[in-house]
Amino acid sequence: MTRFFKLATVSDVLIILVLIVISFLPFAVFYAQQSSGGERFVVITKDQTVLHEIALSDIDDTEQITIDSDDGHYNTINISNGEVHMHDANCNDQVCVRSGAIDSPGETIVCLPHKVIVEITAKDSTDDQEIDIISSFIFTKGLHYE
Amino acid sequence: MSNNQRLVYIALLASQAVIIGLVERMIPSPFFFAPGAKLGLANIITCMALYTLPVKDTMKVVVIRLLLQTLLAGTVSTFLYSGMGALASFLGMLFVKHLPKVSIIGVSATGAVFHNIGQLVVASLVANTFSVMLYLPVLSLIGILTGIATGIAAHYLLHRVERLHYYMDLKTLEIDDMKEVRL
Repeated sequence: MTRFFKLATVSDVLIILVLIVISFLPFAVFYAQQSSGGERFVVITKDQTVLHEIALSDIDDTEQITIDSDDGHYNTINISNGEVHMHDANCNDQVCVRSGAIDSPGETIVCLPHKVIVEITAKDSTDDQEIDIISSFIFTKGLHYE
Repeated sequence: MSNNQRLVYIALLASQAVIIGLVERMIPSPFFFAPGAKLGLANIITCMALYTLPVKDTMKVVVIRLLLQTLLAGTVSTFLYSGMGALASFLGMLFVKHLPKVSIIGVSATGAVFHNIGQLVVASLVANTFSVMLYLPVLSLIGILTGIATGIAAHYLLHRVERLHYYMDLKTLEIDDMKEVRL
């Protein structure tokens, strides 16, 4: 194994480090974009359709939103003090409830079994397509985990 | 090198790359946790072409491989993805190869990462959203590892296959000739 590593030169190691940095650039750009926006919105999506889109500044006290579906599934989302968390859900893994509160743009709470996504965005220009892409990535990854 | 010899060598490299690409498609991807990641074994051939052929002929190898692979096992959309990936990785490898003291391992890793960048740029243009690019770290970290592996493979091929020495020598000779003409 060491003779393989002897093939690499110092410049190779430098190039590989630069490549690693380059590969994380999209994250930097994304967070710079998200944090530059002023108002924060909570976007709640089920089955890739947007159900609620609320500005965090519109809520003074505590607001509770319940997402019910025909098959008895429910998710209860609490919004208070500029924070959002999944208060209760009757899904089987409870990952969404345990993932805690989110408050900054780009953060999400995902309930895979009920296909509910709670997302904080910086602007209200969330076109449906963008959510489709994000959720399809989440769902393909989720499928591979199962 | 005579013209015919050059043509045959380009055709051989391109066809080997196509076959390696097709065989690789039959192997189930070892990266089950990251859809879209692959070994990129055909990168070995691009590396070898880069080290044994002039830039113009290397480009011919890459383009022929791309067209044949699309005709044999692709669709228009995979052509868009792999075409942009091949272009980006070719330019990246060409650039890195001219940096001082870089071995074939660094060149190959760059090729792998730039292939992913090219693909994701097309994907984000098609989907019309930037968020697809957030998938890059997953793909490129795997790409760096497979790139190092294919680089080691290409290194041993270049050093152990004697016929390739002939082409490498020819290439350095040709470059020296061109320098003399310019002087």
